[in-house]
Amino acid sequence: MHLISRKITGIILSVFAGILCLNAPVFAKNVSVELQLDRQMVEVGDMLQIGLYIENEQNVPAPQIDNIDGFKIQYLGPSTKVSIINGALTSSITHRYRLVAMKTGIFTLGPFSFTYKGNNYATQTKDIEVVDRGQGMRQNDLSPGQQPVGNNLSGKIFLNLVTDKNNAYVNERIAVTIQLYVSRLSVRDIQYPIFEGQGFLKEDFGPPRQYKKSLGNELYDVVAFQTWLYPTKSGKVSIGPAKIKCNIVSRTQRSQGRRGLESFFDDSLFSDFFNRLQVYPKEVISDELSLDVMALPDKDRPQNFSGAVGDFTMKVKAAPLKLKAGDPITLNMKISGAGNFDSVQSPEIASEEKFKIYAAQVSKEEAGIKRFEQVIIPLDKSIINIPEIVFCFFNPKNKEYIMLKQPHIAIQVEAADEQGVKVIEGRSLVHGAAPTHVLGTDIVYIKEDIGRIRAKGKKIYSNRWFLIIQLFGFMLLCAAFIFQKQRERLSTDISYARKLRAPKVAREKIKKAKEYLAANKAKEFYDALFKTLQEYLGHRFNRPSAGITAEVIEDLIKAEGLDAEVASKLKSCFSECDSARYAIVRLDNVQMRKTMAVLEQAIDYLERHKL
Amino acid sequence: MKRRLIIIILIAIFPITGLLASNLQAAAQRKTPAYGMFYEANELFKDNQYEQALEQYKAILALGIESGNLYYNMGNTYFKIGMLGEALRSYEQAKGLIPRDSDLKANIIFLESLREDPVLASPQGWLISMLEYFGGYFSIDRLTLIGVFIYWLLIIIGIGWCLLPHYRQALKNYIICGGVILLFIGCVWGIKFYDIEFNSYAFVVDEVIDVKFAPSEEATTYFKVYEGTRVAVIREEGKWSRIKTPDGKIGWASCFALNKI
Repeated sequence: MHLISRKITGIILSVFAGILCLNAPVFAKNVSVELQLDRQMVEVGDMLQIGLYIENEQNVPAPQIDNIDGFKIQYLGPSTKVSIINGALTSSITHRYRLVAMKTGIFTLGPFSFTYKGNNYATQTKDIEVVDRGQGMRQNDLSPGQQPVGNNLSGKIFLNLVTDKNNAYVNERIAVTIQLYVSRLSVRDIQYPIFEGQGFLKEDFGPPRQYKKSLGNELYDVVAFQTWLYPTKSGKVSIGPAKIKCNIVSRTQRSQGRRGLESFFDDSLFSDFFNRLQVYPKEVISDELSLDVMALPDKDRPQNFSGAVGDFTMKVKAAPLKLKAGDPITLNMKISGAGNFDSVQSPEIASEEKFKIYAAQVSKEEAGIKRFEQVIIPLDKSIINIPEIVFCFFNPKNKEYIMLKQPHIAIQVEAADEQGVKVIEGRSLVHGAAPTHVLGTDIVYIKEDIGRIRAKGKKIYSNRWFLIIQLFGFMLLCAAFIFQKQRERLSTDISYARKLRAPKVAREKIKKAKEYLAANKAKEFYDALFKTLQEYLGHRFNRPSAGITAEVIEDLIKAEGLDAEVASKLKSCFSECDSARYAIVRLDNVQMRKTMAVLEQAIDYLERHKL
Repeated sequence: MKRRLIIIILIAIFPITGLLASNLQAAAQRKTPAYGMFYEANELFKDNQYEQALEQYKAILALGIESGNLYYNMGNTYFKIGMLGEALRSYEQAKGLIPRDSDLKANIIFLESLREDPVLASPQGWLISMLEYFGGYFSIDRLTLIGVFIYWLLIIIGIGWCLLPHYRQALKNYIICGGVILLFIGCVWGIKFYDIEFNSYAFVVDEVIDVKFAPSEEATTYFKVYEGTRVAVIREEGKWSRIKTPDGKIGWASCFALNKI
């Protein structure tokens, strides 16, 4: 952690040192001063900003500017700037002032001078014209009822209508672009342009394009809308003027009559805060354009020219190429290029001999492409190719008619199945569907096989054994569920597991004891009996078997609320066992049997009574 | 683990052996005299002896057995004799056994088109319609077997879920999917079962019958029903049956003009 913070400190110091090094040449440079104005003309009562731009020095305090004739002045604040161009670092500070024009006339601003570090600096002078209100703005810039906002819109927003050519042929495609130029204005809600005119057809505008363009010393934001025109008649055709509606957003101060408290905040920060936005509708109008439209030349005009003007290519595909006489062939013809596609008609088939030819349909139309589909039917097996396909258009660039030709397409026609060829006219054939046949109607014939037979009216679900088997399945599931639950309990509930185990253990031990009894082995018998008692009671009461003694047993039986007589019987058993095991007394076979019977009764009693 | 898997596999084999036994039983049935009789009846039909063919087909039914193809051929024979109502009734019986048979469907559509006054069924709710649609795709026996198959799959997976605790998470999704499928099949089966066991249907076998407001010849005629119309028999009273047509009209018709399925 400590190491990291040391590293960071090192980096910061290095960067700081680098900046200082970069700044070093600045101090050596000459300081230059410039007076900047945001406009050359204002109306009386309007505000303008001036700036004292000081290059190569950022620590110059704001120069004190006294009253200027015809203006009220207010200091707004400084703004600093550092830039590195081609490795050369420059820094500057601009002190901004706001001037309010008080009277008309032409005024000279500057020179403004100040002293810094013992040196005197002075700006150049600049003239500014103050005019009466209303003179600085075109009347059609704002809609009726709207007040000027103090900014002259002339040159800040205008509309330009341009075409890609000044003269064209009828039906030729002409690109029309409407450009909205905006500079130093906030414009929003720009609507699509509209323009009037006669003697042409126009397409809809595409999505607008935005870019920046410099005109003179001004940099403009340009919004360009483009569309296409197709002149429909020859002669002079006028286009426009184009109009665009939009909203201009302007910042304005509150009226003078409401100054009161506002004067308290009369400094740059608060005056900006109290300025408010106003939206003014605006219609920007372009100039009108005129176009010379020429008629298409009559000379060399082909007979099958259908009016297409532009520059096109043609591709033709036919399918199938191997067929029987009377079967349809579909021609797919694609015209692509640039021009007026509305005037593009289907290519023509040069000869109709031995063919049945249907009207071509437009199958698809997209930008720069038009596709046609046409069905033709060869009527004779002697046909070996599809006739030439021709498409004519006028190319305005070369000023000549062009004829595109698709050479013969070889096909293989076989004889028809029937005598002669019968072409069935109809919609379905045009689309390549099979001709409609009238079908007979009757019932479907009988079945040869009897199929799957079953006892009449018998259902599977009414079979008793079937139902029992299903029930058995459910019982199996229940058994599995119970079994698993039991297993889970045995593995988690030790007391329960031991309780279940107790009678099994007792049976095993008693069996062993009985063997000793039969063999009249008293010591072994009482040993086995003692272990039986200990283990059984240990499991039964979930206690350690070794801890079960005659003293403990009475308490256990009482605690569980069982018969006290059982406790005394078990206690006497324990006593007899102890006496016999440690050879205090010698017990005969009869006594051994009695003890065994007492033990069995006690275990039986305990098994019958749930704890 | 191994022992438990063996138990589960044995349980899985159990219903499969049941199905095999059922197939063996069907094979045994093929040795019945019905086959020869069916062949003879078909020969009579081919010789255009429709009355005799019909008698032979009925004789097979009298043996206490039935099949979809037998009812189908009977329907064809009735049609050839000119008994449209009886033919449709036989096809309906065949439909209960071979519901997806395309010949049968074609014949039913053809005969329906010949009816004098086809009655359109009243529209039902989408759920019932959907369940009936699936129900119509399978015979009740086939539907039962599909249901039983899913049921046993669920039993086996359920036992696996109980005995193999480590696989519970994996088996849970199968149980849910199987349960949903079984529920759907159960609903379809239930509707079909109810229709078979608790509804009674009949076909109009006379050319046209008057359906009356009351079970009496003197009662006013409410509407007419034409041959081949399938009606639900709600109640019977003497020689009169209270019937309901597919479009929901209810009235009394003579029992003699109806033949119950």
